[in-house]
Amino acid sequence: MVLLTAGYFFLSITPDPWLQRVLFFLFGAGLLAYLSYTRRGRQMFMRRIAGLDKIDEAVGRAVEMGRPVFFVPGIGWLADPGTLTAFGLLERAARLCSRYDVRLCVATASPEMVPVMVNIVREAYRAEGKHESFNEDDIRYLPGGQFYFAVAAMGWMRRERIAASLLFGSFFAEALMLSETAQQLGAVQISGTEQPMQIPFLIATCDYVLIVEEYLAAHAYLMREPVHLASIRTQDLLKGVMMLLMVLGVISATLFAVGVIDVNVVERFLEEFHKPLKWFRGGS
Amino acid sequence: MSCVIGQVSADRVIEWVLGQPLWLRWLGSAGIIFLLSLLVSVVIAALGRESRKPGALCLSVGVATAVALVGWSVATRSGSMAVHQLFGGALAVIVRAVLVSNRLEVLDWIAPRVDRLSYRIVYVGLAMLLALPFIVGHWESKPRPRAITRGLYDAIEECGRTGKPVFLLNAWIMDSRGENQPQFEVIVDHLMRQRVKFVMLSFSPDTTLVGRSLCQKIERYYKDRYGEDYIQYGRDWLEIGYRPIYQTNGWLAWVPNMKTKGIVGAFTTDYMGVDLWKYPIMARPQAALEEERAKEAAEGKEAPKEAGSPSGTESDGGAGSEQGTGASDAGSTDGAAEGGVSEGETVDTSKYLQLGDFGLILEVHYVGTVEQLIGLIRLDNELRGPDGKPKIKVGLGTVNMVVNQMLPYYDSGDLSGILAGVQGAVEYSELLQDEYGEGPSREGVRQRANPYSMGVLFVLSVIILGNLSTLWQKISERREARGAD
Amino acid sequence: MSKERIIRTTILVAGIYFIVEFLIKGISSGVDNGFFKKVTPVFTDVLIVIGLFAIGIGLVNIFMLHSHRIIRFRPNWEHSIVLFVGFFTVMTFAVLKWTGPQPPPGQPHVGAGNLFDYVVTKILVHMNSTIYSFLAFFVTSAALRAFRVRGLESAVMMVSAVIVLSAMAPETSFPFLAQFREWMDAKINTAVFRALTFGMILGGITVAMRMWLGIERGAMFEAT
Repeated sequence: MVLLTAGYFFLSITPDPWLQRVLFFLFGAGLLAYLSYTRRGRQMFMRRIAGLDKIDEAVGRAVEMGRPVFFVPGIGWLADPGTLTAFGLLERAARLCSRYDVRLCVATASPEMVPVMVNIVREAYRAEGKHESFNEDDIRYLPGGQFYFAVAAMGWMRRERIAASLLFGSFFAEALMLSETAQQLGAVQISGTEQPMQIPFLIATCDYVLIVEEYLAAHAYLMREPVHLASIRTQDLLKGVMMLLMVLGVISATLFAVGVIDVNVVERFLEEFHKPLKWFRGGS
Repeated sequence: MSCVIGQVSADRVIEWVLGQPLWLRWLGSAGIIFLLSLLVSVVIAALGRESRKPGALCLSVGVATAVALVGWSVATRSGSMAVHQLFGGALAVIVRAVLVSNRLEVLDWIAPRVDRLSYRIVYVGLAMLLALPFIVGHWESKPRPRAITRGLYDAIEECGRTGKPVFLLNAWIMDSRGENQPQFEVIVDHLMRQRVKFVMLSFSPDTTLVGRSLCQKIERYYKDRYGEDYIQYGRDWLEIGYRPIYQTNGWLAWVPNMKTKGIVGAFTTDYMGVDLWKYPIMARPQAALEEERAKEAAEGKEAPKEAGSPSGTESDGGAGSEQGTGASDAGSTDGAAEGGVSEGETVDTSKYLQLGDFGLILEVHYVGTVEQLIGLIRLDNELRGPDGKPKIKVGLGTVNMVVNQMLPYYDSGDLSGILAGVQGAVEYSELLQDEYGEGPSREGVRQRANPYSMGVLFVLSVIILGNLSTLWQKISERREARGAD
Repeated sequence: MSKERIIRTTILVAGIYFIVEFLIKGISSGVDNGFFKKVTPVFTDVLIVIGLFAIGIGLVNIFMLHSHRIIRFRPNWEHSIVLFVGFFTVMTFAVLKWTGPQPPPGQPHVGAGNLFDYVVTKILVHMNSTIYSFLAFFVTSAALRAFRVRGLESAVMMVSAVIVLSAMAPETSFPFLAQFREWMDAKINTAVFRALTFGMILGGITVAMRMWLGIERGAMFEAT
């Protein structure tokens, strides 16, 4: 489903089926090439992302105030990229909370996420040697859908009087409700989502916000695994290719429009290039 | 007699006032409130209180604003003037503050209080403002329809001209009812008014019933107006009913089914359990059949040129054939049997409505799955016309906060149009009214439009007020620092 | 073959199928030997069924959690009782609706059979709308607190916010404001969201690619 969903998204941003295939395979090839590079122990530069560095401070503040940390992995589905990234951040938060003996409250709107999150947090506590501190009741499925989940989570935040709020994942309209409640409680808030439409609301209410690509790069930033670094670099490569195509396309279209050139070079290139590959494209 | 003359005169005055330009009404409101506040200040002074103090000044302006607001609302039976009183009140405060001798003291008094304003007061103020239209009466608001709204309107009109049906996805939820329900109403109103055929599918269990009852209500309206035969279920519109999905974009899992088995094979029955193939609306539209013949002819002409190439000519040639869309030789019977046809009957689903026969797929959704849908349509050879462009248009009605994310698809031409929240519904309703006159959806849209305007204006005021208070506090600090030096 | 390897192999095969179907051949029902026409409905049915299992998981989780809370008198156990009462009440109404006398097609249920529709349309619907309306209040309080001009960028943002808000309400929608708003939507907003969407899509593809190739690392993949 992840591949299907991601594939649908990917295929809708470029206008031509054959070009989509080329880009897709370019992506795969780039990923494997960079992976072989990073697995040889080569370092890759990643700029600082303030929000991720501040997670430790947020947990530290909770330690000082003696109040819990609240974590919401979004209301997306198990296979969403945002949710998978949130799990990595949940592990980090769980390790920090277990290390400093702070309660970690986790709320989710999807039932299938509960066993995964229980496992992640339990393993994190075990890794820190604090297995007996793990409380499964602090990981709750709040049913009813988007807004009932939000209301239940808001109530839980208020009852616990949380000190820090970590909102990572796929959020929709409930993002503002959760973040505003935490803001009114005076909690430190760090959030990140891959949903662009929620960014304005989170920026207005949270102390640190990871915007789309920063959030999706969180795994790579924190874990520095070769595969994650390689995929970030591949993304950058593909972005570079797209930017180049856009710039060249704009220049070509502009020159064609004002009559400097007789043919829109980029458009003709994209139309003609695939013709020798007809046997491969499988369509009209 | 004098009362009648007085009433007629008052009506004329009110009519004259309402016909004035916006800026003049604001200034006039400010002037009236200014004078009223002077009167209140006189009363305060007569009661032995200091009327020039900031608190007394704000009280006098506040009372004057409230009186003007109520007075105008009652007199005009409309809340539109109420808005102008509020802006007038704000202007009057500033004017009075300037004219009062120690004018800076007023602003020094107001600014920190705005900063420390309790959320409860803000919430109560907002609630009162949202309720205002229901108390004083709703008024006509005439927004200028945007290009995105007009695009959707034109797409539906084109479906009416070509005779192609619309596939309406009723995927909103009751949470987003405030924005999606008026959109749904205006769209169904347009479809039924113009008798554009549409097939409705619901993916949200709670809005299936609501959507159905809205359609039936609008159908009833037009039947009463134009006769029982004007619009009929099964001939002009059809509801497939509710189908379960896994996640927000899970309905796309049904799309391959719709492609391979057609609508009849994929969904089999409508919400009443009647076989879909029995309904006249399931017949393939003439425009779709002609397009398919054109595509076959175009491919037939190209085939000889490409005979020598290593390309898959046979596969290209097969795509456009009538039997290729939903059935193959051996498969048709299997497909028809799997289509849930009554026992003993075999239906060739390829003879009935296919996904590619629709002119427009229109989704009313709280988020919108059009991104994936656009990708699917672009990919599919059979959903592209002879010129290679997608032959199905896509439209979306969604909540306001999602619209920005969908604008790139509108800009690239993938989306024909977008209804953006309540505002989009109001604009669409304006287009309908201008073209066809009053309709059944008008009242519901109007009831939501006015509170929406009130809310937007309140947020705007709060932003301006907050920034002005911050600015004034900074000026005061600098003034004090200079004074200390 | 270890469990992990079986899972990774299944993911790889499933991914290859979708790539071949969408990228190489297109949705090619009726083309060639009709292979995809036969297999695609099976895949989509499987996806739908898998999704419906989530409902069962949710129910089991809820029951276990709240019954433990009631039995052991954990904090807020009274709320758990309320949950069960509400759950079984609505279930009863649903059972009454579907097992009671069925009205003619298209007609509403009456009597006990209508209780379920009553709960949904008269109670649940309005509760949902009420909760959604909280957003209006939260937006206002966020606007009052957070939308302050602190520098050049925030000043530009504030001016554009004021213009857009003014253009949204018909009472303050002067023609030039509405035109400026449309221009901002068409040119600036579109460009920004297109850029964000690129990033989002590429990020999604990245994760999908890693999962498909079986090279994903992370909490969920190592802990299970």
